Amino acid sequence: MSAQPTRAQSQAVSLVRRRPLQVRLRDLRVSGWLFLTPLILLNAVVVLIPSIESVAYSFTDWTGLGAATFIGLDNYTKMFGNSDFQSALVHNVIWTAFFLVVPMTLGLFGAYALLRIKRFAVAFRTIYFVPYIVASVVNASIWRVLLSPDMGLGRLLGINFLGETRWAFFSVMIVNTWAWWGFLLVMFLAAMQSVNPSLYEAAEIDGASSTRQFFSITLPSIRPTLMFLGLMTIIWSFLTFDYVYILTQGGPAGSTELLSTLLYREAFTNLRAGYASAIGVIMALISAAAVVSYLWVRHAKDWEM
Amino acid sequence: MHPRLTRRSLLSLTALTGAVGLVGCGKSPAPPVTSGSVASPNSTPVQYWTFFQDKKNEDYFREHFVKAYSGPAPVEITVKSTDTIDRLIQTALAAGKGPDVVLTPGPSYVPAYDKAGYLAELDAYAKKFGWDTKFAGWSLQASQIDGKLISLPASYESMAFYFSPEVLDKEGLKPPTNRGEFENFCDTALGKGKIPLAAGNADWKAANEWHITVFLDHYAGPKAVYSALQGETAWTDPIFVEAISLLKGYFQKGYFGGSVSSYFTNTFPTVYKQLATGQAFGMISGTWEMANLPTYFADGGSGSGTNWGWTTCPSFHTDVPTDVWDLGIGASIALNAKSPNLGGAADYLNFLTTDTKTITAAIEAVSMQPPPVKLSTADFTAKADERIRRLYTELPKAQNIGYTTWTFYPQQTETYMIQEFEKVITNKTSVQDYCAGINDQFKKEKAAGKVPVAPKPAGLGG
Amino acid sequence: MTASTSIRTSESARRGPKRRQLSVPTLVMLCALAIIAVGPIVLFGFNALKSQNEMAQNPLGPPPSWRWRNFATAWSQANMAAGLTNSVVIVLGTIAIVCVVAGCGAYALARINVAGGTKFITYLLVSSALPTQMFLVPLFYIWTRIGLYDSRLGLIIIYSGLFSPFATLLLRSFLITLPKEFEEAARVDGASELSVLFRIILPSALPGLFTTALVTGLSAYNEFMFAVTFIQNSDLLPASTALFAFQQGYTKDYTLISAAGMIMIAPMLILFLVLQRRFVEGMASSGMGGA
Repeated sequence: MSAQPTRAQSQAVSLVRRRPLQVRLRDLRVSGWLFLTPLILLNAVVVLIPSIESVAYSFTDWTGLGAATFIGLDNYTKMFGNSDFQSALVHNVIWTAFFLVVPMTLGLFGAYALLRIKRFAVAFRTIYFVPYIVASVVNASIWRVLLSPDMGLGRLLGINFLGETRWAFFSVMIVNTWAWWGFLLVMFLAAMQSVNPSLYEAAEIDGASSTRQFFSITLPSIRPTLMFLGLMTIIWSFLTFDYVYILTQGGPAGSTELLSTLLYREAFTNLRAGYASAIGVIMALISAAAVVSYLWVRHAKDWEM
Repeated sequence: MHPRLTRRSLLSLTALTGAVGLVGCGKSPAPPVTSGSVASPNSTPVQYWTFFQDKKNEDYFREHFVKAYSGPAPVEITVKSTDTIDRLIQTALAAGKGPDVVLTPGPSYVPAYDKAGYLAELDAYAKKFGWDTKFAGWSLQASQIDGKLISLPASYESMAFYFSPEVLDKEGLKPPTNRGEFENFCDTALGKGKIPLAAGNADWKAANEWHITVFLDHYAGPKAVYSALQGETAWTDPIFVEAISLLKGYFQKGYFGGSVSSYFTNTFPTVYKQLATGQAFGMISGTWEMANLPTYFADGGSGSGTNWGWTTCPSFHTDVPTDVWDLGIGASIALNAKSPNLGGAADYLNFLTTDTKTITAAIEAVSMQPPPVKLSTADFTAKADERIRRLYTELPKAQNIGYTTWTFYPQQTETYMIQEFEKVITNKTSVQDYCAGINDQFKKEKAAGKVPVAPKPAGLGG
Repeated sequence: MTASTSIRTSESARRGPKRRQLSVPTLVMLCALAIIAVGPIVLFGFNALKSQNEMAQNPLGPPPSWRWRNFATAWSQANMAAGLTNSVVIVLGTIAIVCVVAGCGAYALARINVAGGTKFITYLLVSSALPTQMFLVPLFYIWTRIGLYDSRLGLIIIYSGLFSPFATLLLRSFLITLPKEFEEAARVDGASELSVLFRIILPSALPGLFTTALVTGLSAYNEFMFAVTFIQNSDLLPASTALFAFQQGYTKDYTLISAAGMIMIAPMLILFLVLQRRFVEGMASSGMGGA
């Protein structure tokens, strides 16, 4: 970040038109909303209104075709007592916990290691980033073959990764981790690179090992990034859909079923769009809870974002 | 994912979907057609949404069912992917658009479309075109809702036991006809390190219901199933529990696909290849496969050197005859109530489903699945594939018929049967609980009048 | 030399802890990770160059001969020409709208300190945490009613709506780090808001905008669920949907599917490889990192 003014900025300063400063600043707080209008409008049309309609449908028996009849909380009571929903919820919790630990850790340690390399750091970083760039459609296709028992690793190791109920869930998590961690690494690396080096110098002088430095200097210094990416990981891992959908569609025998795939199947295959909306509402509430907790913690501990 | 669709011969489905097209916004809606009246056709081009098994079928269809059609309105087709076509049609209909002729997954789904008001009544057209005399009576009956004709059966099919005669001859085996022979057949295969029955649902989860259908019809028997469909017998009756337990046992022994986990990951190409190369000795699937198999066998020049043959599925219970034909309607087509050219659409629909010359030519050329219209041996030329001709001349005369789950069971029950089945074969659900679930689901839908009309089990007659 | 200059010198000289030779285990781990990261994709590329028989015999190895013909076949069978063209249109359209919308929004939230701004940020966060399948069907109804079904513009608007919240937050955290002195000076001198925006903020926000554009473009290019639902005309399908349809479609020839997949990911890969330094610098200076 440069503290020197650019030519553009210097030139801009010379624009003059007279208006009292205080008045303008007060106007701004209100007229600033004008700048937010396009965003609000877009969001309302694409997200807000359909979501509200969806909430409304969750109280009906809508099949997705034709009219809907109000049935009150039936969908919700049915849902909470349904074993498919319960196991999908459990799967989501495990999935999110896994993602908070494994890719985050991999990203952190990978970034820290790269931080200390002179050459090839850029090459490594680029390579790690590639899976994130490749579309999930393609990645899932790649891994479907890799894990199949006829070709690829499945044949090599004699394990049918996607066909056995005890391996399938773990396999899908690994594939999604493989695609996601490179992104975390790049972000962490960028954050780590802007940590003030004099902090490290001081620690060197004190004789701290690099591991020690990591925990006492690096981690605390990148806390805003860490927190933000932690939140993003929670949200995106909770909503994850593509990989499970393409690799196993929630099978075999529901062992990889997540709330998102359950929702999709109920809405489009089972013709129970009202019920599916109820699932969506619960998912939204959980995500919202995660966001609000994050913000509250951030506010309570007075951390910058 | 929709049951049935991929496995129907896709060509036949498309063949039957006449397009009456809603082309886009800006067309003024046609005057509403009241039941009992027939709309006169106009020249608005017909848009048709369909899917195909492969390019060959698509090209054939375009040539013979689109270009060759000389009705009041020209036809235009749009090709969709099997996985998404149902959803696309449903959402388009829901928005007041969509194709004029509506392709549906079959009679158990039509009620939902009808209740939503998407479909036009067909009774008047049936009278005009004389469909009553052209279609097999049972198929029209199954297509009725509350006594009114709402859709036409687009294709009909049965279940078959496929094998390669060369492979079996070499192994000294014959296709099984009863339970003892079946178990011997499969155990021999396993003993030789082969796969007894090639099977897999990786490409199509609903493949589960093919096997459920066969075991319910061929162990519990058509009479028991018919009785249950009428609501007189519960699905928790021991005969059904035994049937499913037997199937589960066979799955866990590795009869299907070699192992339960392989069944979950075997794709269709894998299954066909196994059958063609002798890695698997048999395959239980629907008659729609007759269009898919040739590419993998000698007919398709795949170099496997073997040919395929078929017979009816074995009986698994001493009380059940060995020649039960499981009846199925592969897909149903209906007319979009909001079509701007209802008359033109109906005319095309009639062409597609009852023009026997075009249909038999298509059966011979690309193994298209025909609708259940009356065909006789005389309609076929000498070029016809004997295996296919046998099917379409014997099936209409079947003495004992069974009921496929995708035709005669109500939709939610069918969905439950498919999805919960995986838990049964992986021991996550007991067979008793599975049957109890079927019973609960079925009772609800029976009470709501959602069960299609089934013909009596005593045969189809002429 | 002032204190600030000396810090700057050491900044440019070295970032992070003192560089030293990495322990061998760490290096080995890094290499292993690299192989795991890129291996499957390289394998995918290999498979794109094999014939079906070669692939059946040797699915994990390099191709014995390079069958470039596969790419030509895949190109025409999967209709990649239309797919890529449509993707370009959709991606550029989305980027254009998102940059404008998010830019204005981020400016308002970062600089103008609008009343109720933090609440709105919370709303944006929550909004980007909603499961998209939930409003797929209601959105479909609305779109057909206003005539945006089966059009690329309709999809562009949807993508803009889906990706703007995150883009706004990203851009906002970037804008916060920009020094305020020059804007304030300009305001004191009486420059209008618009001038401030265009003459001062915009030029220094370019790296952040660039990053936002890249991230948004990537998301738009790879998205497929909405694309497959909202566009039914096969001439208007973007690449992701074209590939998916091809994969589920006629041929289960995996070598062709691999070739089509390589065609689809190639543009993004090349783009990112070329621009990755800018992208990372953009992320770094975005203020999402940093002490």
